[in-house]
Amino acid sequence: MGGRQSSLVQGTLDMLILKILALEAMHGYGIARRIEQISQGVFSVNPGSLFPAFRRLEREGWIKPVWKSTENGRQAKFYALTARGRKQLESETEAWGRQAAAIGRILEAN
Amino acid sequence: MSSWSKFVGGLKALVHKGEAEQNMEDELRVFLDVAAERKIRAGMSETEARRAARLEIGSIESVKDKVRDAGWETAVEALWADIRYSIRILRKSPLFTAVVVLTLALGIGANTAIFSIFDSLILKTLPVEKPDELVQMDTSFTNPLWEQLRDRQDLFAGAFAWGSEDFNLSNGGPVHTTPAASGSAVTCFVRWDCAQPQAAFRRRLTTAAAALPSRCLATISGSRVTAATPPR
Repeated sequence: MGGRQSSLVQGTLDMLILKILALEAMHGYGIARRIEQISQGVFSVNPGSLFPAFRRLEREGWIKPVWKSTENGRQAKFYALTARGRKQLESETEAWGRQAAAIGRILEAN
Repeated sequence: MSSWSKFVGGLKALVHKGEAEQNMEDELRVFLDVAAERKIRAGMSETEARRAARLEIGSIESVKDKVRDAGWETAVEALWADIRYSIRILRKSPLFTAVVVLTLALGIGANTAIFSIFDSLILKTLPVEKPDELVQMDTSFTNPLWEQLRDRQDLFAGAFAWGSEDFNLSNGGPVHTTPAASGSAVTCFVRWDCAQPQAAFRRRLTTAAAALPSRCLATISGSRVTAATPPR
C-alpha cells in the first residue's frame, strides 16, 4: 500500500467506523482493513483503539452486534449500524465538512 | 438517552461479567483468525501468518484492558477492589489501624468542638427578635449613665444592658450578691430600627450623647452586632 501512513485525527475514528458500517455490517478485522483500503493505506487502525471504539459506540447505541458467519463460515461478531447511529453519522459528517472547509479556508488565506 | 444506555450497558457488563469477557475473547480470536487466514491466502505459511497476525494485534491483554476502560464499570470495579484491599491491609495491622482511627476521631472531635463554640459565639445570631437591629455600644457604661440612656427611649426602639460582675450588697453579715450593680460597668445594647439609615442613626446617637454627662460623650458610638454572647 502506497502513501505515507498518518495517525487519525483525534476523534474521527468513531465517525469512520460508523461510515464503514453504513456500507455493510462487518466484523472487527474487516472494519480495520476497510479503513486502510479506502484511505489507500494512509490510515491504519490498531486493535488497541478499534475495539474500545466498538464498545463505546455500542454503549452509545449507535452500533449493535449481530452474529454472522465470516467468509469461511465461522460465527463472528459483526457490527451493524443502528438508526441512531445513522443519524449520528449524518450529523458528524456534516460537522466534519464544516470544520474541514473552515480549516481549508484558514490555510489558504493570504 | 445516551448516558442512560451507557449506564445500562455498564450494569449489564458488571452483572454478566464472564459473558462480556468471553465475548471480548471471542471477538479478538476471530480478529486473529481472519487476519491469519487472509495472510495465508496472500501466500504466507500458516505459522508465519499467525505470527504476523499476533504482531499486528499487539498485546492482546493490553487491547482487552483498553476495551474494559471504555466503560465506566471498570472504574467502579477498581474502586471496589481498592476498598477491599485497604480493609484487608488494615485488618492485618490492628495497632496501626487503631492509631489511625483514634487520630482521626480526636481530630474530628476537636474540630467539631471548636467549631460549635465558634458557631454559637460568632456565627449564630442572638436569640432575640431581629438580632440584626441590635447595636452594641462600643463602650461600657456605668449604671447611672445607662439609666440616663435607657430613659431616653424615644431614640431607640429599645435598650437593654447587662454586666458580668456580681457585687456584694450587704454591709457585713451574710453575703448578698446582685449582678451588675450601680457603679459597675455594663454593656449596653440598643435596638436600632433598620428602617433608618446608619448615618441618621449615628446622628441621633450623637444627640443622645449630648444629653448625657460629658464623660460619656466621646465614647458613644455604635457598631452593629450580628452575634454576641446573648444577654442573660
